Amino acid sequence: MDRGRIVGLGIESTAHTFGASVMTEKGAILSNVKDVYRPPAGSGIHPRDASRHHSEVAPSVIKRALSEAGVSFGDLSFVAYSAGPGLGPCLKVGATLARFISSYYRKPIIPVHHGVGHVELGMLLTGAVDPLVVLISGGHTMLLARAGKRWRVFGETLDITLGQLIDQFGRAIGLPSPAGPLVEDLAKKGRRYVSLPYIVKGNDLSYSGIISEVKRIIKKESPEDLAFSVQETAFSMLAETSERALALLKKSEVMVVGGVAANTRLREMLDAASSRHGAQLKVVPPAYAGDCGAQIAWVGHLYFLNGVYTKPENAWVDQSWRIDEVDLAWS
Amino acid sequence: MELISKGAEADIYKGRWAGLDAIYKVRASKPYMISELDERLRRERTVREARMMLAARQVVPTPFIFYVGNSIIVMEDVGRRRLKEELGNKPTEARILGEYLGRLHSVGIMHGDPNTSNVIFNESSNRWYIIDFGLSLHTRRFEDFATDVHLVNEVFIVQHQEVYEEAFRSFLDGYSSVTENAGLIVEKVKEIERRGRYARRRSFIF
Ligand SMILES: Nc1ncnc2c1ncn2[C@@H]1O[C@H](COP(=O)(O)OP(=O)(O)O)[C@@H](O)[C@H]1O
Ligand SMILES: [Mg+2]
Repeated sequence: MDRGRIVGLGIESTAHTFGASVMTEKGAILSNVKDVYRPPAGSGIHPRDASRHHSEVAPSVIKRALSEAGVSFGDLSFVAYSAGPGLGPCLKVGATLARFISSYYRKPIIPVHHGVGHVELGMLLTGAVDPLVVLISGGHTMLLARAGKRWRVFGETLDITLGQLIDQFGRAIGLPSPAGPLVEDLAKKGRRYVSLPYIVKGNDLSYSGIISEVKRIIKKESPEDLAFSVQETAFSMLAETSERALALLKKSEVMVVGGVAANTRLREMLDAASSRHGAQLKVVPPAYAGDCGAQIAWVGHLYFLNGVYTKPENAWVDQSWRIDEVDLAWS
Repeated sequence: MELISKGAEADIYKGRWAGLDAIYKVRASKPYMISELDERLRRERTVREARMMLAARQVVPTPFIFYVGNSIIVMEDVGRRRLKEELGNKPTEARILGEYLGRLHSVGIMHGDPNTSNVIFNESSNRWYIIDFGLSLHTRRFEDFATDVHLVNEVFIVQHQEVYEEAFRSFLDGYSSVTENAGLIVEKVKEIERRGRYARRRSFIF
């Protein structure tokens, strides 16, 4: 494969993960280094603590990303950073660093939407062409499809995301965050389904009822049965709304991206839901499902190739940047 | 029987019932769901749909029900002219959805899936019908009514983008003409949409 000649740096720092990656314009991932902040068991992510973690690890993560890729700052064509959505203090760490690199080495800077990063890296790695996208990261639970120059939302959570549900559930039973893999393991040992609120409204869904009910019955049920029931209920809701979107859009591909995509049971359900509508399921490879620098570096390239970049003094962050407000410069 | 629609939730067949044209709405089992959940949902939604269709009839036209089973409803076939296909040519037709939703809300019914495929023009009675009550609820909470309006907004954005402005305005006209609380509910819709969409908080980093 021609690895390409343009190299760009992507910096991810929206939540738990601080990541940096160097990629080429042909999509070769030359490096993808990350360091994940882990709050103490039973507590959630504290933005200040996470941002302190990010500031501490940032220099070494970036240095490693460059050295593994065999490039120096001078070789970069641009630096891209995650501008939102995410936790303010965490976003600022990445943005400030990107701005420093951009002004010191005189490189264009590119603000990237974190969710668009998950989606576009997924498109690159799965080869999907025109999919229904199921985006399930910490900050998003959304069904998307491309419409012109935007990703359009066809369904989403009305309250908390699937990732938040799993983390909040994990915390309620004393697990450290992010709790995804631990909850998945527990769920495999669950035997009995405990009835939980199943709330689908139109193409949207609501997960907050599940967590309130879990908290109410937590003393009466085993963690294994609860984990099993939370997964079965929450994943079925997502599979059903995906089916609704498929029935409407008649897409032939479903692409799953975001950290929760690593869950085997969820993939199994989405696979079955897709095949009921003759669609093929494509899942982002597990190594790139979670937050990482590559998702930012790749979108950086998509903008850079289309001449969209800016100067360091224009860098900004937006904690609640909506994915359907992002103008896509590429087709 | 002829399959006329395969949705996420149900398969719709066209058939006959006691000599009349009928629609069979069948909630088939979903292979990926555990059976406890699958059976609970199919049963609950079938029963709920039948009950709510009856309850809704006091204020809006809904199909006549012929038979209700464990996961099947047989009902009057009201025709094929859906609002979904009419709206493109005549966006002001959205008013009827607003009126019907407003009337349902005023008797404490949230529809739960108010899309334009669920509103059908019946040629023989010359009236619009509203269908698909599987996700509906009895409620008095403004939040639930606002969710219905939010769902309409989403459907219009996604499926009727070309005529969005006019269609949504007509919808709101219809809605306000039958409910006193339209203003309060629209405020609540904004709140719901902010929860997902939030207010703009773009800030320069320093
Ligand atoms: N009583 C009916 N008369 C005529 N058409 C119907 C009737 N019920 C359903 N349909 C048709 O089938 C489609 C799907 O039925 P619906 O009850 O809305 O189920 P779903 O949950 O799959 O949307 C409708 O959009 C409509 O085209
Ligand atoms: Mg319907």
